[in-house]
Parts: sequence; C-alpha cells; structure tokens
Amino acid sequence: MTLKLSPALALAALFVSPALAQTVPDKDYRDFKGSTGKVIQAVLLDKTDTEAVLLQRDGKRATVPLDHLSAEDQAYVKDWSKEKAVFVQKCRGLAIRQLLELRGYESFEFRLSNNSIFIDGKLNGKPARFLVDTGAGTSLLHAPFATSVGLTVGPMDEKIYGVSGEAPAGWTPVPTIQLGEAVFKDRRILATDLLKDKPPGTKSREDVILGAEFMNKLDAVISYQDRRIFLRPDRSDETDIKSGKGDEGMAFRLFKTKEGKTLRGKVVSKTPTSATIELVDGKKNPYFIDSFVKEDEAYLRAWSEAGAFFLQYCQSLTINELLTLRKYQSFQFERRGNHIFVEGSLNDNKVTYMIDTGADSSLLHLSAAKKYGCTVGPMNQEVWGIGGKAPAGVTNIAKVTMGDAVLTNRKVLATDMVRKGEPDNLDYVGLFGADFMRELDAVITYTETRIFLIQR
Amino acid sequence: MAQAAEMRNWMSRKGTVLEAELGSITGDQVILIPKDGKEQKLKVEDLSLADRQYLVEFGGADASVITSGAPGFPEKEVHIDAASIKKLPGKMHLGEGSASLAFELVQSPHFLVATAGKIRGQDTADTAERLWHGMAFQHMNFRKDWGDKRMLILLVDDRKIYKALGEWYVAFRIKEGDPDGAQRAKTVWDKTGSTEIMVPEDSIKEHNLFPSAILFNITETASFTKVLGPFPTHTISGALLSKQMAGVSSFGAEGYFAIVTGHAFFKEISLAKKTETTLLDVSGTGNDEISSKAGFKDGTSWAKTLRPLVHKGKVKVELDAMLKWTRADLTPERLVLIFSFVYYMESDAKRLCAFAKMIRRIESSNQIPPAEEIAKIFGFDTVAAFEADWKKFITDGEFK
Repeated sequence: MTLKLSPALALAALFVSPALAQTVPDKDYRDFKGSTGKVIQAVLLDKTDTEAVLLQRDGKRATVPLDHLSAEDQAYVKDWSKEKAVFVQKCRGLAIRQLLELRGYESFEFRLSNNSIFIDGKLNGKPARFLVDTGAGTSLLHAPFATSVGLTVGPMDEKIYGVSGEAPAGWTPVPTIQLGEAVFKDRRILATDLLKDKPPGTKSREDVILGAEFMNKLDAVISYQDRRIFLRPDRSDETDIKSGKGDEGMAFRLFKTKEGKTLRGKVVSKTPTSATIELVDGKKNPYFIDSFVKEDEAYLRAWSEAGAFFLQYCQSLTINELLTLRKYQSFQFERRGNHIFVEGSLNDNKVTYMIDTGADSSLLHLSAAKKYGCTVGPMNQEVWGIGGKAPAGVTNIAKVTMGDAVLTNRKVLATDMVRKGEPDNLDYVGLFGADFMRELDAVITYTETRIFLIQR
Repeated sequence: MAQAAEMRNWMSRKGTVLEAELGSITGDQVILIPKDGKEQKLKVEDLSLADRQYLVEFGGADASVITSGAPGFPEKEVHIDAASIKKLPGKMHLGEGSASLAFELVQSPHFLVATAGKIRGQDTADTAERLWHGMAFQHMNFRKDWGDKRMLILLVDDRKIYKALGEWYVAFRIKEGDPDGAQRAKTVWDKTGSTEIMVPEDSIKEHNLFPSAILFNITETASFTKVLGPFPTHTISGALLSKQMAGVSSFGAEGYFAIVTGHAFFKEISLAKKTETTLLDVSGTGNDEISSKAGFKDGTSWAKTLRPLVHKGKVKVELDAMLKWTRADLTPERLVLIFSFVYYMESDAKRLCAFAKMIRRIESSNQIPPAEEIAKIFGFDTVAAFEADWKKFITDGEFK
C-alpha cells in the first residue's frame, strides 16, 4: 500500500502535489469495463452471486449486475474475497464510533449498572437519568421525578403491564425531552411510580425509561463493546444544528464548543492551535482547537490529513460490512410494534426471543421453558417489575443458540409472562437479556434492523 | 501505514500508559502511533494482556499473542510514581458533632486511604495501586468499569477510635434501614482484621468514591508499613476481584467463595511469599477476615503439604464438590486445595487468559459457571480432563 507512513511524510507529499490528496492510491483502484466498453475506476467493496458493489473515484457507490461487466472483470469479482481485499481490510480497525460519528451520529458513552444501560439527558430542562430499554414498548416517567421537575401527572387511570403484573399510570404532557442534541417537543408520556412495587428500601436508578419508540425514531445503534449508544439528532422534532441535504448531509460530523454551540461540518485543514471546519452550508471557518469540548478537542488534535483522507473511504462502509470483517455474525431482526425479535434455539428447538436491553438477566416464559426441556426448579424465587413481584423458578438451560453463538449450561429464571386472565399463546419464549448480549458483545442497529453477535 | 484506528490507552507491564492508535503488528512487535505522530515500537509481550486481547479482537492479530510469554508479576514490575501518592490537606469526617471521627487522607490515582492513629497510608496506597495495576493488566474491562472513582481504604490502629467507629457504623446502618448490616457489624467488629463497610453519601460525593470501602482493624502494623505486606495484599486482592465480578445472583453464587478466597491467598502468597490470614467463620459474614499468625501455617509449606496428600488420594481433586464449599466447610486441606485451584488457573498466560474470560462471564451473567462450563472455558471437553490437568499441576512440581 502507498498511504503515508507518518503525518510528517503526508504533509510533505501534500506540498509537493496537492492533487495527490484527492486520489486514492492507485493500487486500490481498478479499471472496470462495462459491456459497452465504458471504463470506470472503482474499488470493489462487496459482491453477491449476481452483483458487485463498487466505490467510484468520486466516492459514489454503484451496484452493478455482474453480467454488465467484461469477462475479465467478472473473473476478478469471482476471485475477489472480502477478507483479502486490501482496501477494506484497512478499515477493519475502525471503531463503530468513528464510523457513526463520521455520519453525523451523536454518541453517548453509557454507564452500566448491573447490566442496564444508562445515559444522561434532560426532562423538561432538568437533568435526568435515562434507562435505555429496547424491551419497553413505550417510554415511562418515574411519577415523583416528573412532578419534581415541574410536570403535571394526569389522573392515574391508565394501566401499564410488566412481567409481574400491572400498575396505574397517568398521561403526562412533557414540553421537552432532550438527549444531547436531540430534542423532542410536546410529547405525552405515561408516568408511574416505579418504586411503588419494588422491595422496600429500593432506591430509584432511573428517572425515565427510554422506550423503543425513541430508539426507532432516532435510528439508535447500541454497542455493548464500545459501551456507547449512537443517535441521530436530525431525526428528532427539533435540533439547532443545520442538517444539510439528505444522506449526503450526514457525511458531516458534530462538534461541540465549550460554550454549548454545536456545529456540523468537516475538518479541512489544521494548524497546531486551530482547525478550519467546512460547515454543512459550505462556509469555511477557522476555530481554536481548545474552544471545543474535551472529546472533540481530542478528535481535532488527533486529526491528520492522511487519516481523514483514509477515513473518507472507510466511511462508506455499513456497520454490517465493518462487523462482518471482524467476524461478527448478524441477524435481521423483526419489528413487531416497537419490540424486536430474533430467531434462535432453545435446547435445539427453533424459537423466537425478544431482545431486551432492559432485562439485566435473560428470562424465560414458564410454559415455554418446560415445553422446550429446561429443568425448572421450585417457584421460590421472585422477579420484580412493573406491578410488583411474581414467583419464578431457577431454570437450567442446557443450550441457547443464536446463529453460531452457543451458550451452554446457564441458569436463568422462568416466570409466567402471560397477563392474568389471558390465554397462554405467547409467540416467543422469553427475553434475550443484557447478560447474554454483553457476553456476545452485541451491537443492535435500528437503522439496519440487525443485531450483531460475536462469541469470544 | 495509515490506519483507521481508534486512539486508546495502551498499558505496559511497568504501568506506563500511552495514548495512541494501532499502527501495525508484525510478528512479536507492535507499532503504536501517539498523537504527536512519533511511532513507538513495542514488544507485544510487554503490553498488558488486556491490550493483547484488543490486538486480537480489533487488530486482527493471531490469538497466540495473548498467550505468549510468562505472565510474571505486573504488581511487582509496575513503576509507581511516588508523586502520584499525595497527602491531602483536609480530613475526612465520619459521624456528626462531638462524636465525629477525623481521618487523615492519602490519595493515589485509584484509592483514597484514610487513617486514624499512628499508622500512615502511603504504603497501603502503594500496595493497592500495584494490585490495581495487576487487575488492569489481566482483565479487559477492569479499567473501563473502574472509571474515575476511587476506592476508600480505612486504616485504624487506635483502639479507642476503632471502637467509636464501630458504634458509629452500627448506628449508621440502622439509620439507613439496614438492621442486618448493623447486627453483622456488631458481631464481627472486634474479631475482624478487615471488613467491607458502606460509605456515607456525603463522603461518596465529596471524594468521588465507590459506595463500599475496605476497613482494616490494625493490631500489628508490620504489614502496613511495607509495600505488598501479606494481609493487606490478601484483602485488597479479594476486594478488587469481587468488584470486577460485580456480584452474583442468589442462585448463581456456588463457587464464589472458592474463587475469591483462592485468588486472595494466591496473590498473598505469590506476592508477599507467605500468608498471615485466617478466615473468620461467622455464618453470613461475607468478606470479613481476621488476621492471625497462629492459624494455618504461614503458606510457605502449603504446596509441600498438599502434594503428597493428593498423590496418595487422601485429598480428592474434585471441582464440582469444591465449588460447593463455604467457609463453614473448610478444613486446612480444603483451603489449600482452593488455593491450588486458583493458583492453577492463574499459573500461565494461557490459563490466565481463560481465567480472565471466566471473570468476564461472571461479570455479565451474575453467576459462577458450573464445573462443566469452567472446564470448557479452560479448553477441556470434560470436567474429568480439567481435574486431571489440575491434579497434574499439583503433583508434578509446578505447584510450589
């Protein structure tokens, strides 16, 4: 490969021939001849049995049916393997974070408490702790907290359901919910007393349960390995940041200044103390590097022309392509309402699991556990949730699989997950919880509707 | 070569931390590129096991980079900068009004050592930092999980203050709605050499602390006036491993005692060369321990005594049975077998890597894997094969 050895060398090369910076090293490109004889210079990114995905010199992608290519090119595509492709391999070390930040996602480092995911946000302008829960079909407010930040909780004449029963809840008008740059306005969210049915002495961990409807809306990506959740602020009701046009506008990064301003743009050059950022509207402005918040300051200090030049090409990878390179396997998940479901197996029986980041431990539905050959102990345990506690039994699972990932000899709890008085016709066997997902370094993407897993 | 890699902290055996991105890996060498662009060439072997795990997962390195080289003792090899251990000007107060107890403070990067009496905190802070480094070296998530908080360690060698502290603590637990905790403290307070206590909310906030602290009841100062003294090494090692395992559920606790106790003795004996710890058997006391030299023999003869017993079949090397033992079931032979179990698991780079994987599993699953899973994690198809290898370790001289 001919990319620069060090930033110093790269800079020298730029002075000699600025044009060079606009070209990908020739070795990575190839002339593809169409059946009409037209030549395009491109890098092969991916292929199927019938098509090739090409990245052209101008950065645009093209999916070309194989039979539109010359015989020689067809043979090249046939022999090509993604594993060996030099260009793509170089993107392998890219963190999901780098990939998504390059596309205008805002990233949040999350805290794990036990296995639950927490991020900080604002409810009605006041700091609040948000629990990220893909298993919660709708978001919920902790009623006493909602009141404490000046919201009016409506009459408690609604019902919400959890694994252990039901609880009263009241519609609450919420002027603003803010997660970083994403702002939602004038929503109505149910509020309930999250501590009411918990064991005495329990302290509240969360002020807001952030349910799946927001994850859907914000194209969330959750990565246990990075311990980050990524959201697209431009998908919210309002954001101060200019968003540019379509997906092209997303090829810009967010920068936050210490004064609380947010810019969307990309770095075009820098000196030791300042960086010139091209904003989404095409204007170029210089900024002092130390005027940005810590993370962005670090990004700017680490920024190099050679690195940026390179990243520009990695950027077009999807999370799927990136993680496939890292030998992750992935599954398209099925959305039913706001919930997500994935096929797997339980003791060698084909079953469906609900993906639930809000479940610290995986949980089986009692009758399913018995039906699929798990040993269920006496119902002398308890599971706690909305509506209080429910009896549960320690259950030995011989084998759970999802794709090639195999988990053996696990103990989980099993409880009756069907609502009182309703027939037992659950079409999934239980919750695939955060315990399994952490072990398998899961990545959940709402954009690509996939879950990625890797067995270490 | 230019890489699209992430800036991250890399740690060497000596404890140096370098913020850099991964350049390339060739054979046993790795090139790291810090922000200033000046490439650094390092031996893979000198990087922490946690970093080597990263090289395999993200850098595409062969899995053998993790298991190459001897594990050594990062706790001994690390360079602790004396300037990073500072005496703080203010004092910490526990309790209110005239009954308030004041503690001198020594702060290190990851610990806050509070002392009352004649004892000084520097050596214990140094010991704790070394043990912290050992954990960060071996366990991938350790540094991340720890974050920017500090763990409080209290050293008390003044009898009057220790007694008053006990009275305060019992009242504090009752006030917090924890009568069981109060009762437990009452029972063990005078007998214990170290115990875990909960820290009041205002101190947690003021010093950015974890909610639980280690309290040492010091009757003999010798182990606290040197680095890696046996008893503090034992207690702090156990506490750090427990913290990394992050608790287990009520139905997943079988084996917890063996792993934590074995690890604490392994660190104590391998780093301090002897043990001065005996376990206090008060049912349900958790991590309380008493310090006494009169209990078991001092650890230098443990391997020598166990070897012939295992050889003659008087002590059976059985994993499943051992995982079920609790404090109440202990005999000297059983304790030494538990020690040999963890010693075996941490005895070479490959096993240590499996040990780290097991701890990672416990952290996410909140349960100790059953015997057949432990065997699998260590690369054996059956528990019998694991036991045979462990037995061979005891009888064939590796266990010393």
